[in-house]
Amino acid sequence: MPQQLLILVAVLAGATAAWFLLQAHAGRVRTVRDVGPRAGAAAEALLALVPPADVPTFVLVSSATCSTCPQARRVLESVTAAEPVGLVELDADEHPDVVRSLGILRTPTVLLLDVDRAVRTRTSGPLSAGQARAALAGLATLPGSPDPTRI
Amino acid sequence: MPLSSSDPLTTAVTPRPSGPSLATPAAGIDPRGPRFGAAISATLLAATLLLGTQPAALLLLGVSAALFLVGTARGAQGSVQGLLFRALVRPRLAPPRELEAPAPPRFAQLVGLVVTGSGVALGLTGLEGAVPVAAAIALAAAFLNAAFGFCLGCELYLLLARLRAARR
Repeated sequence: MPQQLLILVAVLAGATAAWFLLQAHAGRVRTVRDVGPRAGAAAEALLALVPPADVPTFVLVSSATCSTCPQARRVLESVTAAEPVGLVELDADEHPDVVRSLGILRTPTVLLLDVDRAVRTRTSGPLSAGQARAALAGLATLPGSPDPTRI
Repeated sequence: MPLSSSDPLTTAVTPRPSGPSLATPAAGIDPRGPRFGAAISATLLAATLLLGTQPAALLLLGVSAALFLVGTARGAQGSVQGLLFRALVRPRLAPPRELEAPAPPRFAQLVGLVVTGSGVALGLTGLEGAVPVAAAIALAAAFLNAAFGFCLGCELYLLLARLRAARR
């Protein structure tokens, strides 16, 4: 019994630690560079799915069993209502090509596309309105990458 | 250019450039229900883990698997824990601030069923060690859901879907 009790405590402590690590990662904005053999395929797939616009676009990748996607959608809708930015939602089940080529493992994943519809930043996990606004504001200050290999 | 700025509870139909997404359906469930259910599951699984490899552990894991089976078949709101929540807990709470889609917690019930069911099956074939291992895995998931509202089963969905696609 004492040994089992130790295992029980270890399981709960391990789960808690994993959760805190995941939380630290959630919503963090990561810069995306247009590199890798799959970047081209991803860019092409997104061009077909995201309508051209003269403002940046958030792409919310959601799924049927995603419990935090409705929250991410509300956050993004509140930001798009106030800022010059568009919003497109993609169901991961319907676009496995996009999910695979971008290596998306978690929903919600939020991509921020610039006016050329190139992916500039991405976040995974639930995000706050502040994080979404920061990503948008950071778009101008990102190292400009007029990449000739990009579509 | 916002898509919609209507009430969160009634965003059943949101126009989207892509095809219809399985967003929040009109009929949502109280998100505290699955969390309460997870607390019951976690308690049962913790007791299972404490029993080690005794026969009673296998029996208790079987009870958990049976509860997950009901939850998978009827959805989290129709599970035994869900019915308990509605009968005993819900009447004492204020109405929920927001509703949740029923698909994610239901998928989590399926993940719980697969984990505990495997443990029971292996335990029955004489592999006693499988019982505490299965109980520990399911306990970690149920505990995260009960304590933090984090649905591990839901997060696994995309990974499992990719594995399924890769096998094709």
